[in-house]
Amino acid sequence: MTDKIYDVVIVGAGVAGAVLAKVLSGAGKSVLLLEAGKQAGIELEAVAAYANYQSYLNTFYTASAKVPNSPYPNLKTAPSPDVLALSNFDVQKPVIEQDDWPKKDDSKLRLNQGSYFVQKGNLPFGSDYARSPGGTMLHWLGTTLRMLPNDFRLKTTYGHGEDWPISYEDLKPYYEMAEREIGVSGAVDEQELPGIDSNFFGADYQYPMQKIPQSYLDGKFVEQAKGKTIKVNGVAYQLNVISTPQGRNSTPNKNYKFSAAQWDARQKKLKLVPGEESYQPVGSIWDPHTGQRCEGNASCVPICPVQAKYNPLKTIKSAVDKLKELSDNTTGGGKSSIGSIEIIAQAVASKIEIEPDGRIKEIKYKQYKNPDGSDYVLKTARGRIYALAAHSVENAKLLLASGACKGNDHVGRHLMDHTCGLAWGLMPKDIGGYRGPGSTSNIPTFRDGAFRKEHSAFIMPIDNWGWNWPALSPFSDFINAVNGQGTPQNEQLFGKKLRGYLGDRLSRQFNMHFEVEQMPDYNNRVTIHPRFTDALGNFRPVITYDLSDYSRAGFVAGRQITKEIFKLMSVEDATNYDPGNTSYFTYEVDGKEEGFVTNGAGHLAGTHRMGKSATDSVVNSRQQAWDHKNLYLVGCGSMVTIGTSNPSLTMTALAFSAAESILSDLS
Amino acid sequence: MNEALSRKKDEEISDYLLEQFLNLSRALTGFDRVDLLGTGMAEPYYREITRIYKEPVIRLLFEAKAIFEVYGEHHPAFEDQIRQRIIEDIEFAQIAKNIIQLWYLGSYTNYNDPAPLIFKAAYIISPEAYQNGLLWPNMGSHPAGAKQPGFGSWNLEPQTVKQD
Repeated sequence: MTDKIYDVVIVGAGVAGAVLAKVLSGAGKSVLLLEAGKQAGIELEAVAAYANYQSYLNTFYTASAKVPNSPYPNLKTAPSPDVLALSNFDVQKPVIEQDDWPKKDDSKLRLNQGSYFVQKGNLPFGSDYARSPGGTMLHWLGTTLRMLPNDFRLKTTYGHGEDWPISYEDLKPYYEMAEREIGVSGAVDEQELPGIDSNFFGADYQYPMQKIPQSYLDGKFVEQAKGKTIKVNGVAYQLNVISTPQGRNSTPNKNYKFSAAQWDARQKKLKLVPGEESYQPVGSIWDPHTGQRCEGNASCVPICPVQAKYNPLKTIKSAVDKLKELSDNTTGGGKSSIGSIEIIAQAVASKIEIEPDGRIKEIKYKQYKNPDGSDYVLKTARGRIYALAAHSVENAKLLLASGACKGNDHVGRHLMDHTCGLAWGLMPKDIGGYRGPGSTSNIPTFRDGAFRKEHSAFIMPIDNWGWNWPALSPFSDFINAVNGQGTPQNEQLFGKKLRGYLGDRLSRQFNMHFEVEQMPDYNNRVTIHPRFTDALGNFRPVITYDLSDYSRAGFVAGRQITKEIFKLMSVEDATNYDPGNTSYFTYEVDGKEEGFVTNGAGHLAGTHRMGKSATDSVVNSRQQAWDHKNLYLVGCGSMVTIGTSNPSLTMTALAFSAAESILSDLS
Repeated sequence: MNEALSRKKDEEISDYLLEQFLNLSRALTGFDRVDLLGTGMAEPYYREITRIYKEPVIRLLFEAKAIFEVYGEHHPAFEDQIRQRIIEDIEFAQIAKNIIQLWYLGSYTNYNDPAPLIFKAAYIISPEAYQNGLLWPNMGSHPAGAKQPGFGSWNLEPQTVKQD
């Protein structure tokens, strides 16, 4: 096995690795996919796939805190971050400045997460990711927004952040491929977005499936808020509310015309070609008829029980099935032109070996049998080209551990996320919450505009799951009700009174949030240190994180707008930012300090950004490392800015683009 | 012979206590007998609560039985009696709250923990217990991740809370 030289060795079986494997093998290339997570998670045969997924589901059912990673195994051999550990972040300990560390004492670290993240910055980094086959998109919400044209030229247009080396127009064809692969449900004609023109989608463009029905509470929201004018910082804005495109199955759109992306060897381009048959929703990996529609489980994060929500295992399975079909239908010598995918799970890439000329020689990986142990066998993978698709933090870690991309010190820097503010309250009447996908509508009004000269842009999704996010509802409501906390006369409720109280309260709970763009800050970074390693001796991420004034100002504007919206809708505001929260920060509003609590969005990006020159970026616009011609860094780490879009769709588009570059190199 | 006889007795006693447990559960949860039995969780919950609290559970059941017998559940003082003698009783309070919690959420919390720890002090006793929580249908919904109501249902007007 180790003697074989593959066309491409890919590290990580998340969406970026899955798309690369599918496109490359589909174009006749041999692919090795290394995956750190458990073998059980990559089983594609029906019985095993179903059994494994049911084990995720049962773990979710019995998890006390149903956080994004709760269904998925956290392995000693390939640990994942734990958002519950954030409560241990100790703000009393000093921030450790870059230059003072690592001489300082470990006990002074603000958070040593035991299992994984080490944190020493001003604020805790509040997001996680999943090191399981299928990657973090196992627990993504499913929102599939393209970035906006101005997001790609933020510096030129507004004087903040950085410009991308590519434009929206450059990425647009790959967005279309990503929307085909994920299977996006949405209404193009409802996407009234700021700063776009009629070319944004292009004439006649449609999503593969019709929009996911908006929630009943969205309807109530639209009735009262859409078209209303509110003032922020003296400027009047007319509120718009639109349906959100999502990567979950809905009714197929008869007008959608594309089949899968195909490699045109002559033109060296990937192309979406018109399909002969209409689009068919892709069901679960264990049964194609399961998950044909979103069934309203209301648990997209952390797990869709029927896999109506896209996850990258679907891409891997479709690629493997296609290769088998080709092989079955081909005889004799023709078989040699068929591509291949070999998957090795429980294999943690630990070092990239570099030749003196800068080319990658091989990747060393540690293969383990027992996920709770520390034993492993060190193995070697060789290919003509290597692609790291292990996640922005893991890619950075591996590069740092290998001394790769050392032309500048940018590896691991410019770590970004959306900083999320929540605003919650009680509606006057039953709005039927805790039903449907997590969010089905959003306010796009503040995603772009002249205000970006002053503060960050943000998107405002309307949430469907009551106060689940801000207050751990309905569990907290229950505990408080039986304990007589916040009930009328502080009565400890039971019996029919308890039923009535909870039924009324929970059915009126409303939450919306604002996801604020964070700038690529040089000092927000992932690094490594020999003191902090996992059971296999691989590095744990050491993170420094803070919010810039520009993002804080955007956050404050977001909060102001929610206050105005709550007034419009007669929502009884229950928003409460607890100073005891480890993610509490202050900002001056109208001359006085006000406190806020930021939440991670799980949108980690920017650790190996692309750029126009080798001096200020890690990869070029092809996502090829400046310093290593046969190394591609694929995923959200290559993003220059994050805009106001959940990054999964952009990452998927970038993976298609990288696949095209790799095929071009190989031909 | 004796052993077989005693086993039979045990079963009778446990049926009897289970009935008392259901009566008390009706008073504590506000759900009727059919709602409770419909979850299929009566026995596992009874077993769990006696596993955790042991003999005091039996005393609690007899206390409840006494209230039922003296007042009857439609008596104006019935609710106050439950409150004073069970909900506000030092020994019974946390057993009673956990009986409610099992039916509503399928989980157990240590109410003696000084901090109101929502999840750290709680555990869900089984996947079935979570899926049969009554809190969810009580608000016109369903447990997140189970008993899915079908495509597009979230777009429709919510079912009003039914309470007789």
